[in-house]
Amino acid sequence: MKAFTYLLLSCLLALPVAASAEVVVVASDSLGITSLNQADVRQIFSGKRSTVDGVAVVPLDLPADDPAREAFYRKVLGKSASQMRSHWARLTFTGRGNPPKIVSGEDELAILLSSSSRNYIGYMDAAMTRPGMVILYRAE
Amino acid sequence: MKKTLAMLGACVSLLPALAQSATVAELERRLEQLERQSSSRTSVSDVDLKVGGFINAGAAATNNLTDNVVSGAGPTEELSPPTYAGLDEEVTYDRLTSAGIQVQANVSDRVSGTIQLYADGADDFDAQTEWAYITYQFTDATEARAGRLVIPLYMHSQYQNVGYALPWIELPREAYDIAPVRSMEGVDLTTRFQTGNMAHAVNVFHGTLDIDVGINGTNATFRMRDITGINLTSSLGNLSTWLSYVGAEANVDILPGKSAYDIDNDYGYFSSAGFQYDNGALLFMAEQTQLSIANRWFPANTGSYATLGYRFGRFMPHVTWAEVDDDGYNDVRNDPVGRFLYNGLASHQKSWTVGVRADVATNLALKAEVSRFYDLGDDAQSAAAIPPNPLLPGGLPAHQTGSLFNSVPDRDDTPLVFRLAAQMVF
Repeated sequence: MKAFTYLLLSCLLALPVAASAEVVVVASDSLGITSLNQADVRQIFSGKRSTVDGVAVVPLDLPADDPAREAFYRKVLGKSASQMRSHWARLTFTGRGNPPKIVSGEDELAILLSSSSRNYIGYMDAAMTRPGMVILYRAE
Repeated sequence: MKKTLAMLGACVSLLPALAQSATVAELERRLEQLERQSSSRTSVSDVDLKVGGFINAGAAATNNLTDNVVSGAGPTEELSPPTYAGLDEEVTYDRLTSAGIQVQANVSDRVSGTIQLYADGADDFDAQTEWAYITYQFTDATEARAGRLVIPLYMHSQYQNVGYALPWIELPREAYDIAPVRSMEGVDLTTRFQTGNMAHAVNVFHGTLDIDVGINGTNATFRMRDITGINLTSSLGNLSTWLSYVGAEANVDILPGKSAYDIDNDYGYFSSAGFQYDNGALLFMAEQTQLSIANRWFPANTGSYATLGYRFGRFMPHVTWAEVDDDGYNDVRNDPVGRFLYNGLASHQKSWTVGVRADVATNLALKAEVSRFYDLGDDAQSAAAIPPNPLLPGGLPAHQTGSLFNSVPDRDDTPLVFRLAAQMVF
């Protein structure tokens, strides 16, 4: 029994420590949306919803190897990369939607958010946000 | 090599420009280009083409089974062992090997066209057009499609060939084999809306289809007119639900010429209700499906399953219980032809499936499963329907059972099906 307890404890301790960096969902401050709740963010980034308060929004993804991407999907949607691929396969092959377009990194995301006529929404490490962006949601 | 160097040079020279003074237009163009490169290197037009596909490679077999010969029921010599949906004790690959490819052309923000071809080993890899439709986007939340569409009969119907998108190697046949149809020609309309924190999508459609079906060894064309359906998908957090109803006018000429047993403009309906809960680690799904046609002999089959899985890193062990049962035998009990036809389409069985899915690499899953079947057929019903086959003088093999096995496994057998597969999407 004791051995089992130790085993359980060591398993718990060995659980990967969640990336400590805070991930935030951002858009241009000219978008007119000031905050989103977790349900909104989940629905936008899983293709279940394309408007917020009547405003069409377009999600953007960071590259697959970006640590903020893994953290975002883990914390906000509770899904791993392969689970998201399964999810998008269901939509893509039934014509229900395509995964978000992928930008090259935070720099490109920042430029697209601030200057595009499309209402892009992205996520990034909280430390990378810059002027002109509005933080819509913080992933605790 | 030279080309690679040139491309590398171009990339390097592009980098500073990107960092410093890239305009949005350039970036958006680059985004489109990157997308196009990643999806299709041989785009022949300016249209934004997306190419994707899926491949299922698998092998399956049953354990050693022997036929349970019902006494006095037709040929008793050299009975071949019972098979399950084309599987026998020899390992076969063709039943679980299939592939699909899809091209989506986004002509404008509003208009796109999509074609998906699908071929499977069970059908000698004769490619079929599963989907071929034009999409028109009315608003950000509403779109219409016209062409050839896979009918959304049940929760997983529209992506049932995409193994990677499912926990199992193949869907529980108890629930998904009860409908003999897949694609229709027609139109559909989908709109998404919100109520509080719930996201919904409602889909309505109308169409027709003609397919060749075999009922008890006879060839017939199954025609459905006025296929009209509605389904609602709702999601709240980790939970999503599915409700669907499809009605149609069904026609099958069972015998040459006119016969009272033909399905003649009889109303048929498919319905299903299901839910999925997935919190990232725990997966719980259940669904009930039904098919019925209101004529004098058609069995009303009801299928259902429940699946529980738990993810440990890349591995997800899962267990599924499934059942199919028929209803309506009392209506045909005293009609030899009716009960013969009834038993040909009635299904009665239960199964347990345990399996594991391993997400071993990007876009690739390896899966292993074993299913154990029990409560096969309904003795009271099948015994009453044993030939002589009233439709085919000279007779069919003797074992109409009403399970998804083609005959009755011996009572001492424990019918098992083993499956192994690698499934990917791209």
